[in-house]
Amino acid sequence: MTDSLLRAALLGTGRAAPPPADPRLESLLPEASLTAEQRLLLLAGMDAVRRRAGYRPAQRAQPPEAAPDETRPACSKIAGRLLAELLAAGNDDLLAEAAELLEDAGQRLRPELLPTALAIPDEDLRKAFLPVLGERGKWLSRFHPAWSWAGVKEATAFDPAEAKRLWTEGSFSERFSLLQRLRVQDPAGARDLLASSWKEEKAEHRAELIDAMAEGLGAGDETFLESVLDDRSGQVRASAAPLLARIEGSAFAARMQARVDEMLGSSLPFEIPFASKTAGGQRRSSTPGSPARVTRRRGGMQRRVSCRRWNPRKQRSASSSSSRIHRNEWFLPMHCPSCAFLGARRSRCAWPRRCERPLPTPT
Amino acid sequence: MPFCEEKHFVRDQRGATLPLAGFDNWLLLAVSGGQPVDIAGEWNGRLLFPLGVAAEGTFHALRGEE
Repeated sequence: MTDSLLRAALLGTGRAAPPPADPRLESLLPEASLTAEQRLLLLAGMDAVRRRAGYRPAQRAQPPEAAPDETRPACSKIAGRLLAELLAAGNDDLLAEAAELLEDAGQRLRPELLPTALAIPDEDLRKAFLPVLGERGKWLSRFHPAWSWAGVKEATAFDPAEAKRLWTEGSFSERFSLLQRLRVQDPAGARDLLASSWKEEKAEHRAELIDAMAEGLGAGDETFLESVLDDRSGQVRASAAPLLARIEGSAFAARMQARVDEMLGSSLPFEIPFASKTAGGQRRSSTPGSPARVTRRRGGMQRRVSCRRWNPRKQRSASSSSSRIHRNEWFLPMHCPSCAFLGARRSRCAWPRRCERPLPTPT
Repeated sequence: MPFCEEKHFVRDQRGATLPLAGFDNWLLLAVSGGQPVDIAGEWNGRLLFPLGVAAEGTFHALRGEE
């Protein structure tokens, strides 16, 4: 119909005979006598309306596969707006910190931020954002080839001989990522691998390799980590301490708990037990030192105790303990220091709510 | 519900699909998560330009055309 109308229009109604119209359209034409031009234009108009009104959408029987349910809550709208601004500004340092804070709070990005977050080009930043993309982010990444970095990767089994070769011959970053991946599949095997070459590692590498142990951390790691607490390097000891504190029922956690109990048991102002065990377990007779140093040490110990322990001790609830700490200006934390320090994903402690109020600035 | 198979489409509950134009199709897909959502848009006879979507209790404005 359109073709014959078009041909007649191009050639001119004087040269080509006006096409015979569909009888149903013909009946709609006005009864008054029409010129050939009027008739052609009216038919063309009717054809256009008919096409538009009669559009039949394509059918797709199978509904598309929906994203799986989320396992963690989305961040607040306010946090989402801040993140959107940061993503638009492209400040990598702030973004990395924001992603870390989200991860610590056990939250994920709001879905509207996902297309921008998935388009992040920087490798390190991608790594920081990976855990906070949520199920929706992983689902969405399947549809865009450039976003495949966020997709679910098939866990490939390691060939032990190949792993051993990479461990002894690979570059540091290769060895680090090997250890990380191996920890996911076989935490004990990975630990044995690390222990086998522990003495030969450089101090700065030892500290980083210990960080890789955070994956798949369990009670089996306590003996090794305790031995690491006697390391010559303070950096290495500092890496091992939070891991030990995270192991439920570890001797280290018990030591820290005992120390904090001692502090909270005393009347205000707190008194630090000066002859106390160091992280390594040796006894250390220390002098009080400057007030700032004492505060730092209190903070350090405080953070090494699981937040669950903040619950009633001598009828003192978590909130009263934390308000005492607020009054003493130990920390100005954004969230529970224990949870942040221990890397707890989601805490049930009373701290975060208390800290939403602005805290007094130390004078 | 929006979906993407090389090109972006929306599909209604009975299976009829419309091809999408517009600049925020990824955003539309992201906020829907493959679930049914309410969409407002302009239909030009061939393509749908989505202008807004309400998902999970939030309305998001979409850029139909630039």
